[in-house]
Amino acid sequence: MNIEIQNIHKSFGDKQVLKDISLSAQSGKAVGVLGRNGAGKTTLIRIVMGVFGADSGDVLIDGKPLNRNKIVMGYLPEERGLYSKKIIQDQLVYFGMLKGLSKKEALKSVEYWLERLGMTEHAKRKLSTLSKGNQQKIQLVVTLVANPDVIILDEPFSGLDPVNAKLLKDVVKELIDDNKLVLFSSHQMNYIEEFCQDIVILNGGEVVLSGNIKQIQRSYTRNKIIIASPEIEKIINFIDEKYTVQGEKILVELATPQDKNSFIEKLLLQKFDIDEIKVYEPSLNDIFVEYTEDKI
Amino acid sequence: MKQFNNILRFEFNTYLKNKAFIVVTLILVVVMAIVLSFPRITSLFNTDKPDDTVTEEVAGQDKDTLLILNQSELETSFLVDTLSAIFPDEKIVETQQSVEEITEIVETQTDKRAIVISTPTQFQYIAKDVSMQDSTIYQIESVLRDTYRISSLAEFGLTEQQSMDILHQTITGEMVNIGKDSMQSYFYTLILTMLLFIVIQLYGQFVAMSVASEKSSKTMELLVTNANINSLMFGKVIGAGLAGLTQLSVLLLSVFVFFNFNKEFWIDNPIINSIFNMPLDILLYTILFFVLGFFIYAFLFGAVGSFAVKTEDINTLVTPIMLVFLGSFYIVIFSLSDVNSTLMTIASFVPLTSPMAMFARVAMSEVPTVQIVLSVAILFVTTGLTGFFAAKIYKVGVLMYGQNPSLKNICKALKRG
Repeated sequence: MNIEIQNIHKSFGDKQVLKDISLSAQSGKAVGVLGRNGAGKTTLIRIVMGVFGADSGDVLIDGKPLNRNKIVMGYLPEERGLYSKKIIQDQLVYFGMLKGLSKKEALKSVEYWLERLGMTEHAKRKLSTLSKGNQQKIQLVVTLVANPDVIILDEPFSGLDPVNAKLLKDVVKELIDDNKLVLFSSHQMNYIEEFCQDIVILNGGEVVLSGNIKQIQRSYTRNKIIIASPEIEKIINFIDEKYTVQGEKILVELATPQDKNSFIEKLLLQKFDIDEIKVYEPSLNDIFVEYTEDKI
Repeated sequence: MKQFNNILRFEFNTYLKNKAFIVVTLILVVVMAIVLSFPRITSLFNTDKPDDTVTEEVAGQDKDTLLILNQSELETSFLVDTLSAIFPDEKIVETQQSVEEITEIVETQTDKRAIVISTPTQFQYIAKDVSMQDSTIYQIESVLRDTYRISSLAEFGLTEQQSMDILHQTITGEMVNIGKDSMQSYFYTLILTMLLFIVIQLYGQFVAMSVASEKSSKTMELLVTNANINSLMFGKVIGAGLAGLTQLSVLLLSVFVFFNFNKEFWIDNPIINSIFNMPLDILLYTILFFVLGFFIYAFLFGAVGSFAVKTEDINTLVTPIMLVFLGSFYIVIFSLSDVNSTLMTIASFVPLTSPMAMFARVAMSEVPTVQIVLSVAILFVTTGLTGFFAAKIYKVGVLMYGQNPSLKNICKALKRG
């Protein structure tokens, strides 16, 4: 399955919230949708979920307009919320039924997911009695209860302890392996790098960068070398190039990427004690900040 | 449709499983049971006290005294005899003491009262701590009036008997009412109008509360992304309406059961009998106007409720609707003495006032069928339109945070919806 969001425009009153947004994603892959607060992510997700329509543009599944009665979608909103005074199992079944499951199917699926997330013992309790992290796991059950084909996760890891974060990571990996189409939004770049091969960065309602993470990283000029060594002082004294010290590492900026090999050879001839030497690639975090810092 | 059914069932069950809902319903049923069984309960306590011992006690030593100071030309013996006949439970005693002395006696002795007759047409009644039921002054007034008239008529040559016959001739009259007797219908109309007011208001507020709490708890994010907004709005409103109807039915049924259980104790009470002898069609009209009135208000409550960010905002948000609703309630309550006044006739066609106004008119007078049909039709169409526009406002309102439901914002929401 292939989802294509094409040339979406959306304005609220005079304010243009989305300007010509396009992106695509395939089953079995996760796409990271990144953007600062207010960049237009939630509006875009609401348009995909059909809460309101776009002013122009299309959402296509395998080339045809998205039919939300046929394609099951699961959405974990950033703003978490369920009925705090209601029994967990009852409301989960209710949401399953809202998505078209029969009561029996909904109950079966709820039981499976509660078990999978280690929440079975809480099934008959009221939601308000659970901790924040556990409430979040219940929220994840709502997202997954109807076995959706398209899954949209908005900040799924916020508020989870490391054990629960690992559990969720495993679940997300399973979903991707299970050929689900996952749109993933987060400010925690390490998770994006872990799950997503492709990213789309929104800023001020526009797509400012999109593509394969590795390719984006490689597209930066490869003229910086990072060196980790206990003999940093000696190395600094030896080299003529521009450098910056980053803890026990130094980042050396060469005039051109072609100088890379000769520089490394020169360094090795001196027999310095070197732990690591590699071409510097910007982290996703650096790329994100670079593209979204001044705008919005 | 399946989704709407699920939402409706969920909302309806939410009310039925709500402890407050169950407790309030039970309390109302118990109150009805106690009120309607009251004569039966009091009769249980009275059985071991036969009536004659009570009267004996009164007739015995505890007789109060009514002192008479006669300063007029009327015969004192005549006055004592007449008053003895009127007040059999009191000792009528003539006195010659001064008004001051009599006042002091009445002041100090609780079982004494006094009458000072200065002329045949003027008297004073002296009593301490007069009770609300004390009619002594009117009875003495009537005795003196009769005496004065008879003696005046005697000057025209009439005998006492002739004068009495003329003065006390009874007139028999019979009313043939081919419409409704508003005296009879007054009480049940009043009670049912108040019931309509309370139930519509209460459940309308419940709808607003429910919308606001889903929004403030952010459950709305999930609801709007998982369900059709119209299904949500209509499921919520109809669910609350059904819960209201259920509570109303339980209440009316319990009233009916407890009344029939205690029927023999209420036989002498014209008000209670007039309430329970109400025609069946009035009850059906109650349900019809509850349903229509509830929906038009519930849609409005739901629409403004969608603008709330926290549940506390509800009170401010529903105030304009509540003012309109209160206004229409007062129009109806103050017009019950003349339900066919121009104001009531107009009010019975205006959608927001017609549920109560037309109901009161139908209950208390004969309203031409065409007017009832027209009023219901107008209300029906307006309710449908209100539902349609309310869903549009709701759709935008639930996703708005921190905006007031000003007319401008509501219009914006309508445009965007």
